[in-house]
Amino acid sequence: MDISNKYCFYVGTARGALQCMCTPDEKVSYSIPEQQSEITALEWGRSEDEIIIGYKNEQVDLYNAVANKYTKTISKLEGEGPIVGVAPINKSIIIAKQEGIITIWNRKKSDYFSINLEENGTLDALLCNKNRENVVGTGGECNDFKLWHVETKQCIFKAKSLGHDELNLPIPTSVRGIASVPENEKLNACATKEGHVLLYDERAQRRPVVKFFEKKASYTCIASAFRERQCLVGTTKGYMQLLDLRAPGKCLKTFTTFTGSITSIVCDPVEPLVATTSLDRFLRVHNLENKDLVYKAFLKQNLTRILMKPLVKEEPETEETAPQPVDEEYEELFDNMETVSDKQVSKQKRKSESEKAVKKKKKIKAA
Amino acid sequence: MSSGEKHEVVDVKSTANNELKPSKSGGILFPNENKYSHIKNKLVRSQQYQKAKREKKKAKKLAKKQQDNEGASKKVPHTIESLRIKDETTVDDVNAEENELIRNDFDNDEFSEYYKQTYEPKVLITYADNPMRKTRIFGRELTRIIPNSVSLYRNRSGVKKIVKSAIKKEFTDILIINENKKEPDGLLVIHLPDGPTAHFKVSNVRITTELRKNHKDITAHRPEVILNNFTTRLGLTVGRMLGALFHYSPEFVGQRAVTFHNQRDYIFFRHYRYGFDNDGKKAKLKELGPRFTLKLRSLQKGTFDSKYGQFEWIIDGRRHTMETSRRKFNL
Repeated sequence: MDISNKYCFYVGTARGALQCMCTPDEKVSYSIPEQQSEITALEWGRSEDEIIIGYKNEQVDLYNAVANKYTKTISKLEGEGPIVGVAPINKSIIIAKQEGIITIWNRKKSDYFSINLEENGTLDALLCNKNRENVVGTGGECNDFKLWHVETKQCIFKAKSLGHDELNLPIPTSVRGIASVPENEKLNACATKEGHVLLYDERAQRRPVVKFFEKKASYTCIASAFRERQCLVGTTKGYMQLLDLRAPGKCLKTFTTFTGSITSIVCDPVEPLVATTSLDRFLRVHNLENKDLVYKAFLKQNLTRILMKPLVKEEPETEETAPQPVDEEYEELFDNMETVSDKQVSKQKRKSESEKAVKKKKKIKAA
Repeated sequence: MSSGEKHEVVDVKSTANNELKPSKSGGILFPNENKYSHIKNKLVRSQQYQKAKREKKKAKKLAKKQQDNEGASKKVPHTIESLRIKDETTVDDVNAEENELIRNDFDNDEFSEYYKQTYEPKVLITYADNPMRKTRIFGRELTRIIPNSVSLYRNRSGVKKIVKSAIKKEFTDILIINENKKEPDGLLVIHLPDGPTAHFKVSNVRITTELRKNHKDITAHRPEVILNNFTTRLGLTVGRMLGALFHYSPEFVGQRAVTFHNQRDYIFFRHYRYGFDNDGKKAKLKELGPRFTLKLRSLQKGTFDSKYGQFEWIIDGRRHTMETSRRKFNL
């Protein structure tokens, strides 16, 4: 599958540089911020060409993708710890910190609320669903999946723990990634450090509807795939799995071309293409259907986050090319034809056919 | 003139000899028979054969000398290293313009502080539980090589606990020597305080006594460190990591050198004392020992966490896909 001129990738690195790579095989452009720190969150902003970047050193930058410039730096936010998630909501930006404090930042004023974590709990993942504004999902270590309403600052949904194992010990779940299922906004999937992929249904129950458990794996990230109820998860040891989240969860495919931990996954919503970043400094694009490695690029630094923008095909060009294959002779022929009444149909038809034949012969001779 | 002509003739003959393989002229090539096989006396036969062999060798040497005198370019031997498949992460020149990101990486990574010489490394060397004699001696010898290092027994402590307490005591690196069948077989290098962690396989350990050397020859001077042949991006990280174990300013008076030589992904460790002859032109090397070989198994981001930690590079479980060619190397 050819992916040239199809996508534009924005990649965040462990040293803080933001790399932009449009149309593979072209030169990679990059920009480095003044204060360098690992990029821990990367998301599209409020307008089309704005990118929100969250850093490990508790700072958030706004980046203009057209001008390739950092437009604004947001710092001195409430709470401590690295930024774990950023998301745009209407005109404001949601910023989550590891300590468990979510700030709703606006140019004029900012508001914040704490999600009240336990002592050893952290916030590691933030989810913001485009179809369902004002609701964010959170999860982390010793902090099960929860849904919050941003305006009322109330918890809407709180996942129940997985219970106890056969030795009567509590089963730990440390959420490292959350993804929403595109066709149903009430369904959310979580990937955990311990190797669980849990699908929660708000309408049904607080326990997960589907539980998938891979004993050896430790998941780092999750993304919904282009097919219904499928998702992609990446592990710390560099495997990517395509999971079917219909009960009971099943692993459909495993991708093994990675040599380092997978840090983020993006899937095309329509086509079976998936882009991944890995700590081994490679950006890879895979075909989901046949597991082929479509594209691979060495980006020189440890990659942590990825954003993908499908490039819109330039339509005016196709319009220009369309009217070209018009045969003038043929047009003339039809123009000269008389409009016929019902009676003369048969004769006229024959005549026109013979005319055509003559014209064709002429053409051949000319050629 | 005449000698030149002669020489030319010889050349033609030799080339003709080389190209003789399939006979196109219709002549027949007989199988190469040993000239001396008809001699029945075993002793005489072997003497004759050896003599001929010696002469042949001599002629070859002479021809080579002549070639050298003429100034012909030296041929590069075809080894699997020289025929190496080009790795796309190879860094030829760090200062090149397109490698700005790599330089930036170096300026900000976990070892940048060491290379800015802001701290002196302090190394903790420890072992698996119940180390046997050779492993203990090996660890002790490492303390003689790495300046400002201590060797302590582990006391059944976990690695994560060791890391925590070592950070408190301001150690900058931890080496943990693992053993199997009474031989050291694994080396875990943890850079503190925030990683990375490298796991090496250790093989061919020769401690000083096995090399018939005396450990008393090793002086307390800080050694020079030579990192050789680390070319890829991963190799550079590993090299930086190994370099950061030693003090940044060597004491040249001691004339001690420690080398980490990478060849075909195996890192060979040697420890020498060097000396110059009276003219100061040639150097002599004396190996002090110990010697061992390292092979990288994994490189992990952050301090030790084999279960949940994120790996920057790991070979476990994918050797069939990564070791597809004998001419492909990772370091």
